[in-house]
Amino acid sequence: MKKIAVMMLAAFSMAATVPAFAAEMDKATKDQCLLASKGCANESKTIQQKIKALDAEIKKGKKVYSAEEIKKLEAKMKEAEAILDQLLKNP
Amino acid sequence: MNFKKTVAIAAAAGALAAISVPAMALENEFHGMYRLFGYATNALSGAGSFNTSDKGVDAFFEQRARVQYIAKANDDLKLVTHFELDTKFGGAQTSGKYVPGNGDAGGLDADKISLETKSVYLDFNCPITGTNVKAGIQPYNDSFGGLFGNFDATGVVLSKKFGGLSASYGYFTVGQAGATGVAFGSGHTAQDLNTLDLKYAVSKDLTVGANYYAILDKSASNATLLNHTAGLNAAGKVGPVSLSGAVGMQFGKSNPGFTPNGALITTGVAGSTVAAGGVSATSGSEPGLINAGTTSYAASLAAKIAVGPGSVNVAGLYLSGDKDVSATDTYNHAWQPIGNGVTYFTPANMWLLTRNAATINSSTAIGGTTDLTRGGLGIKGIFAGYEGTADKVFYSGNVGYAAVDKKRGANSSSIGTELNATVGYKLYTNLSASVTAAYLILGDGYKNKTTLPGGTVDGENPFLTNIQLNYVF
Repeated sequence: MKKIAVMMLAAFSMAATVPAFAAEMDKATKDQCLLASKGCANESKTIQQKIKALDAEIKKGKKVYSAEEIKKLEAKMKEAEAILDQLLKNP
Repeated sequence: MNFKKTVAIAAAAGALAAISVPAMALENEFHGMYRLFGYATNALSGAGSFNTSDKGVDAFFEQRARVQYIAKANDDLKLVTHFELDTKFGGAQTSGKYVPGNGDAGGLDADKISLETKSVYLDFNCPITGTNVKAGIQPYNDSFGGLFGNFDATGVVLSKKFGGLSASYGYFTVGQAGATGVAFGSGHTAQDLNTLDLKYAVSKDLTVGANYYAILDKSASNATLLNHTAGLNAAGKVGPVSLSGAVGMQFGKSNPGFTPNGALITTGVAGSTVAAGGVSATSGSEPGLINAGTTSYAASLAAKIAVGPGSVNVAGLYLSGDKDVSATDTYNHAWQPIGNGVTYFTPANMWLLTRNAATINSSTAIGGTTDLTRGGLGIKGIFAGYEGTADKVFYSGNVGYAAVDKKRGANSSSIGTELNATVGYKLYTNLSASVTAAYLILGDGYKNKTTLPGGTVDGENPFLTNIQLNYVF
């Protein structure tokens, strides 16, 4: 009983922590990460993508977000714009 | 179920929770940029100097990369690191940034060190007071748009919002008196900058602000002295017009021209080893100004008016200059930034009259200096242009005129008139390519063999053309 419980938990933890594993192993699916550098598991947003995504979310307005959450998104937008400025401009 | 099993299951569940709970994760943010310039110019050398004599045309490439890594534990806590790598093709970047005599990594086989620290700071929101704290080497932009200084420096900045009011206090140590090593007591000879910036949002379209900066120089060579800079600023939008402006005044003792560690370099004021722009203010030649009182002023205005597919940009700049630098002059009227290399006025959109915001290693303008004050003579400038986009094409054209505020014996105060144009194309979302041409018609201040900063007898009209590649991510 104890062994079964531990094995089940181990299997469950694998499933929970490695979600991309199953997809990568699918024989019928092309690996777009290797093929076209798209959809890689470790992909992170570029600063332009981040600004675009924040803009899209802010535009959803109060139908989706609370006033407090919109303020937070706007603050993040300012932060992202500041990062872009620091990258592009002097000093 | 016996006790043993319960414990085993609970332990396993706990371990699983520890592995999979996303709150434990660290958000990794990577950003950066790469910029390449290919220049053909009679003014720039790639080493930071600016030539106005008849030396023909030089052609060279230079590049800059910036790499930023942000380790974000959560929304309230992150570490920001930012590095910079500059190179001139051929490896002869001689601006002194890298190991002296070794050049940069642009030579054959590249094996050189050309890595700079730009920022390394901790950024967190205090859970008790709600204050944002930034501690470490961090970027700081003044409320004058760069007239006092936009720079990276070591310090602690505390910021907090009170309704529509944003308040920010900063403490920076910008230099130390001739210290060649770390020694006990060196804190007593430090050069400190204290900053206070207030902004109040009157409405969605109008923000007003006030700021105060104090340079406290405790270095032994200058005795303890205090230089004050105070200012007011505003930014607003009326229909298609966006406006921003700032005025500033300085008082107290002169920024003393203290250079050992590259901080607090004065501008055309006594005591500086070499005054910015080459004005003959060698060490000790104007001792009367070392501890002189200061009364100097600055003003700037920038407007962006949406017209057609782009905008008309208009900007004006004034920095007061010192008329008579002599031992008998008890007041210094030259606007004094925190350092020569950190002044900017980017709304000008110039390349030769004032340095452009996009410049990298060759970040300079006429006078061979990055100092806007033209060696303490001050500056008066007016600039206008148009910028727009058409699908993936972007373009701009600008014209600008500048003169020194005080000509100090020169025939004329006119520096010159610049014309420039840029056309670019977005190859990808992250990559753009552009070409720029800029031409400066030297004013009478240069043409008539005068002593304006960096002036040359019968100087050639400076020009530059460049191709530029920009990758940002």
